[in-house]
Amino acid sequence: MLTVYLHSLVRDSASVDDLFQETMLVAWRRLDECDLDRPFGPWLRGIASRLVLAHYRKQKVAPVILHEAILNVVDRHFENINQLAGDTWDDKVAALRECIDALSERQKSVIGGRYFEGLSAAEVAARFGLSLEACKKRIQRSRTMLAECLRTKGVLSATEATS
Amino acid sequence: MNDQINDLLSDWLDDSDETPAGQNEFTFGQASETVAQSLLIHGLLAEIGSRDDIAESERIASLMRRIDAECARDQVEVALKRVPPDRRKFAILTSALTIAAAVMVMFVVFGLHKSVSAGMASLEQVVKAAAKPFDRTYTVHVVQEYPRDKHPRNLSQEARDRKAPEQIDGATIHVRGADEYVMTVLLTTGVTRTSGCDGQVSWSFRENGPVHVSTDLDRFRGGMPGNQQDMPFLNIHANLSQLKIGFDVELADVQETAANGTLLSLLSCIRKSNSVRGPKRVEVWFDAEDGTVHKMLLDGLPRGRGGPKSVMLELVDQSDLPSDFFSHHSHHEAGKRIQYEDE
Repeated sequence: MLTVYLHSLVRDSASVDDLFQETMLVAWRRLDECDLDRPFGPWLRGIASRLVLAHYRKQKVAPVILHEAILNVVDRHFENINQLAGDTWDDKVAALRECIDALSERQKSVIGGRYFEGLSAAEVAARFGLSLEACKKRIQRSRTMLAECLRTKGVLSATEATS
Repeated sequence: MNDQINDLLSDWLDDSDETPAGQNEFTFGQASETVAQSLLIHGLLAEIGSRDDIAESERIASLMRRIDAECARDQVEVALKRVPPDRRKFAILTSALTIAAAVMVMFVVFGLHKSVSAGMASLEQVVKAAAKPFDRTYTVHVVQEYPRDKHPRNLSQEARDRKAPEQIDGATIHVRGADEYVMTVLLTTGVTRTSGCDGQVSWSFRENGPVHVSTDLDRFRGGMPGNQQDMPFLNIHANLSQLKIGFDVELADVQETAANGTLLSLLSCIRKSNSVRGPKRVEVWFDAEDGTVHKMLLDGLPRGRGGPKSVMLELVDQSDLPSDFFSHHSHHEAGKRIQYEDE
């Protein structure tokens, strides 16, 4: 799903909405350039990634996460997920909810506050009496565990490219 | 190195400050898998956490409006009404393919997981197809009349006694795009009334009277079932657009085959509340490939004007009409008196 891809690369949801619209409009205008014999997702994400880069350039920000190698891996994971069984994206990533359930209570709390209640890390930290740094580490640790869990369930590919 | 990466990811994903971080000393290419997976998890969680069906529908609707606007602009440029028939057929084909491809894009991207979203997407497709400057001819059938002996209590005596001045059953409507139409009905007085709009002016005349012409394109749309109730019966494009606002629209899980073999899908539209004016229920049977409306049922029409309870429009012809067909001059003898209402 395009919005998941954009949420992965862009932090504020208003920009995600704008970029979603722009991506779809550009795709619409360039539909005749799309090779329908090839997967559609990479083509669309290619448009989206270029618009995301332009978005950051306009803000004079150069985040390292937009390293080409990283974008390539993100794209590969999306394509892998697309190949999974299930009619909808929700079906394909149903395993994520199981993985969230498998987190410890403390991890579930910070993930719940951060993503399901839309709180900032500072607000989550205040709620649970944590320092901001400790809260951020707990959230990041939870994300890492979710990634590991999805790897064991075959949703993410297990290959690790680190040297 | 993993700690550094995790710290950087944490700063990027969870800190509200802008974090350019373009000056990191380690190579991200080496840790791309770790970073990519964290970003993906973040994206998935953000999407699941912020999922809002209504917002998603609005997002799609907003997008389709923008695409609609671009299409409308293109149509003006194309000006198909001056295009020779062969090229027009080619244009029809390419338009149909484009629409089908666009709908496929929408479905691939969003997934067909909600019939309501699918319904709105299909309705957008149908609205867009109705705006194309191609010629279609519909006949009108009265499906059901209101019983004369039963009235709602709040209906005035005047409304109870009122009879529609025209016989809508069997009427023919020719339409081209969003605002060109010609309709001929038989009045209860026995004479015919022809009304229409060529996109520049609207007009109407009885066979025994002058031609009334107005620059108000809606001037002669009154008098038809539903027209006083914000459901422009004649203007199919506007009628369909109206459905997006006051009706719950669902793509039904049924299909049927038209006499010419076209596979038809059904949009079922139910009026959201009594505060919304217009018929209670609208069914739109449309070509699943190009969005052309083949049948449209308007059921539960307001009875205040004495018209029928439900009517059906049925597509009977898609042949190209002469380019000046929607001008009143094509429908009466030369020399007929013309009365300009705006003067």
